Amino acid sequence: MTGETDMNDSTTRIADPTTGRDVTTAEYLGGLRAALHDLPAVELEEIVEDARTHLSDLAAELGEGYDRDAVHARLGTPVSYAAELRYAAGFPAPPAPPAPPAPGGSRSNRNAWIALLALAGATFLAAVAGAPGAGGAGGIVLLFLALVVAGAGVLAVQADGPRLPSVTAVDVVDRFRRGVASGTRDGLGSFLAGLQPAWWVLRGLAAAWLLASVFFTRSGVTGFVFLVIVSLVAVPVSVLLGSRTRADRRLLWLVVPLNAFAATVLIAAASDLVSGPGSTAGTQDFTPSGLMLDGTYISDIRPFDAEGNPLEGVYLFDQDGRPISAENYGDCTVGERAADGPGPYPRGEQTLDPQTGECVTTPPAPLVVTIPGDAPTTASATPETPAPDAPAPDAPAPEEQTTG
Amino acid sequence: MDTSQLLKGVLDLAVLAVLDQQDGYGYEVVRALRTAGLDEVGDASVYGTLRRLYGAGLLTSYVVPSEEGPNRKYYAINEPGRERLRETTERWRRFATTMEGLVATR
Repeated sequence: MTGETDMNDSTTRIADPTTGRDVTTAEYLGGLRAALHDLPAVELEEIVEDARTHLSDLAAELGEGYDRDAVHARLGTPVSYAAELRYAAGFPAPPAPPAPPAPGGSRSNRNAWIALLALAGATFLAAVAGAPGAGGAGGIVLLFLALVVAGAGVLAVQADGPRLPSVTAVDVVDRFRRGVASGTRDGLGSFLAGLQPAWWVLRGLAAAWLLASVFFTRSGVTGFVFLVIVSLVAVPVSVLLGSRTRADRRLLWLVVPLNAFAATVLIAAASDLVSGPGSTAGTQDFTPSGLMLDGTYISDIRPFDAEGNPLEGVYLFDQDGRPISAENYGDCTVGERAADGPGPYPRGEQTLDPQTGECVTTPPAPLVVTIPGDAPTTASATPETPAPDAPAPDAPAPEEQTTG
Repeated sequence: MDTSQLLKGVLDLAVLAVLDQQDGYGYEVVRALRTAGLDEVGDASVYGTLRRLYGAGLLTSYVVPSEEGPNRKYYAINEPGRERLRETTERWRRFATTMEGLVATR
């Protein structure tokens, strides 16, 4: 292929001295560039340069009449020019529409996202508010905050009308709706969808129960009567809200956070029934066994007397006489190892002999420690010492200070 | 169906035929086609077709500096292009004859 020489030096030359004409050209080329942005850069530049020459010829031909309207009349809009060129040149169609097909364009799409994020955030806050950990006033503040966030979010799409076309046009929402629609068409999904009114009743009862428990001690007959009265109001309100939400999707910004709140409240109430009141059961599930210091297991204890002399054969017990056992696992997880028990300390390090497969106890390595008070004045320096043979009374962690 | 639909299938042939007579830059080809009677041909279609034929190796191009305005990119038909033009012309004639036979009785 011959030719195809450099033509960049031409691009700075301006076709027409009149400013208005340059604006027309620049505007058209800009639109063209945007419509073809997905093409390879070299290709795009050549096309734009071709079009620049083209417009220059057109300007020469049209003379005074060269303006936006005239160009559009001759060539079509930049978008249609780009589409025609794509088709004729055999370029692939644009990868995706530049903006999602939201009716109001990108602005309403952005608003829809703001509303969706607000809904997600409000739902999260409401769920946390209903969780047992939040409790009392903190929970109420969180729920209030959730409703404020949701209210602010729905304002962004308020003008959209009850069916919220800009939100349903969002890709994620669309897929979600299709998924729900296909999932509830038949079988279990359809059955569960049919239970929705039952949920409306249940969350009404949850609200009543919660109100009763906040504003009324729910013990005794009066508490029960109060609960019944509140239920008689809360349940119809909840059902009404549910059916209204089917017609006006904007109410979802109220209903979804409240649903999350009701769900976590119900779950908390159910777990209270199962495990009894206390509601802190969850935090006590795991109690580490063994002897620990600042989160790490103690594998051995190195007793010293007040003069800093290492002691051997020491047995340790707690205030109730239970043996204090530093579990010395080391490499030895099988076979013989020093029995767990109150001592004697120090035990030394236990390692597995790779040849015999037996546990070998290595005597403790020499250790230099600093005894607090560093003087042999046992009585005055250690006022809390309960027994004379308890060494290094309040040394917090001798091994951490100096090791040898 | 308007002429532009018919045109799509034969634009390659039309552009090759124009360039076979004389080298030309994009707008010249557009004008030549219009002068020949194809008023409905779109400018962008011609530019796109030129790019595609050039990309397929049927045309060469060269740049001619212009006194006013940007440099002009001229296109010229080359040997593979002429070969394609002969084939397509042959096919077009058969097609046109067939179509003529079909519509002659009307």
